[in-house]
Amino acid sequence: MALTLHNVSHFYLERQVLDHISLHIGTGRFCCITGPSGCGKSTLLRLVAGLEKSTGGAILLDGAPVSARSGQIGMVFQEGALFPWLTARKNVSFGLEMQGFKPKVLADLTEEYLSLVGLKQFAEYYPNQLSGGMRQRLAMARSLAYNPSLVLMDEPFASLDAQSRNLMQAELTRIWRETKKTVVFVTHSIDEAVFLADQIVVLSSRPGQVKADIPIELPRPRLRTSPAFVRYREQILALIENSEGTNEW
Amino acid sequence: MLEQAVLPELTDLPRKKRNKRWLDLGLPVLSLVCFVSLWELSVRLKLFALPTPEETMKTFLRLLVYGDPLYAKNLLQLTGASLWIVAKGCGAAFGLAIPLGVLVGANPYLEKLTHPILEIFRPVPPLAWIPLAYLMFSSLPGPTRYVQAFVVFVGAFFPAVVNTLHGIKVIDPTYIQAAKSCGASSCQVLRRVLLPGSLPSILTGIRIGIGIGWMCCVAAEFVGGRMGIGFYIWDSYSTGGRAPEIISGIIAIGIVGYLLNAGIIWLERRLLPWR
Repeated sequence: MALTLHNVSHFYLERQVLDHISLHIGTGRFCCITGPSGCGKSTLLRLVAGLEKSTGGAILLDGAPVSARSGQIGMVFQEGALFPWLTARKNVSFGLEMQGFKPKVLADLTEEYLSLVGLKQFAEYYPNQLSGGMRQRLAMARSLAYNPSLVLMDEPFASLDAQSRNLMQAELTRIWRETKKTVVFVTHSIDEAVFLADQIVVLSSRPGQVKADIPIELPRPRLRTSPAFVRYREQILALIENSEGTNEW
Repeated sequence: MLEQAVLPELTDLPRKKRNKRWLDLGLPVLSLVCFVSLWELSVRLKLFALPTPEETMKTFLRLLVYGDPLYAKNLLQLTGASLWIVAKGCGAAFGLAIPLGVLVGANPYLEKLTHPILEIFRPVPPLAWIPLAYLMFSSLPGPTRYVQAFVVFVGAFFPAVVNTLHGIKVIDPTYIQAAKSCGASSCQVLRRVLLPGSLPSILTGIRIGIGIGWMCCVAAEFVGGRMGIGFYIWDSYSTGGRAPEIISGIIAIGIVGYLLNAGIIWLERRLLPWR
């Protein structure tokens, strides 16, 4: 499902957070949004998810406005936001229940997505019994299980150590290729963005504006040490460092 | 080198564990023994006009098994009568406080609206309501029963409402967003996120509420009525300072209070396996 943002602006209290954001993300594409702190990346994601209403502009999924209730959108949060009172299995089936799936289908899909993220043996564990990486995989399973066409991820790997983070990026690439979703992934890490994305959107800060919209044409699986990979990293780093508010980087 | 350093510790482990189990059991017994010894000592030194622990223990067992001939009731019947009042008062308190706490916690306007009332009445000791309660229920037959349940109600209500309210307010808003992003309606957010998320606090409120309710009941029974453990110890004093009976009553109150608390803690473990 293709996502189009047309002149999206947003004010929080008196302050402008986003300024005329326009971008297009094609069906099945992986888009990373990056930029300095305070550029409104997370706000943009919440607007797309329909959790907040934008002050101006239009957000369209295949030409129609979005709503959180439709089941078209799955969202993965920074700390996973798994429900601590539910087991891994119940967390995955939560979204399915909200979307009103029949019990039989619901149980099958839950098992399918637990296996997809490799947590079948941990189905009866509570989130606090799982490692950081497992929790993020579980959060992905929860937001993928009810088959949304658009998956929004808000710095999902930010709290993981560097090694788990690399593993999770590879894992996410695999899952994305298997499920063929359109993904919008917010990250602070340029390395992460270049590793994952088909398209990187760089925002400038206060208010957030689209500074650059760069297609990443690298074959997958990607090699972080390849010259082309490093060139993309340098290009994006230069864009972010030139933007205002660089003192925070 | 490293393995050698680790090994002795490993072999030490079972012994340490055994020591710990011994301490877990031994220390509580030791504290009871110390308490009873001090009691015995203070009686022998004539520090207080108290019966000896032995005398008291005999009275306690006699009251438990045969009961008090003056009242034709044993300790179980006396505490049972008080517990029944606590059950009624707490039942009404929790039935009102928990839904109210959820609503007020979830709605900032309701919170502002109810805040002054809650904060003015919360610091009032529940026992201060007793005279007014007698006036309020004076038209009913046997007002004492209502007064006692009402005092328990007041004592249990505030901890329950405050803890529930707090439990709702401290729920991480990301959980609510996560539920909404999955397509949850407001009703589903309430049932599937706010209620389970605040359950630990609600149970804490219930535990504190029952504890205070139990204390309030004993105190309310001092004032009126012909039944209950509070009435019993007050009446044992009035009829001529029957100290062993009074202490037995106090011990019974303590044991029941302890068991109520332990019961809720057991319930918390059952209902909150994720903690």
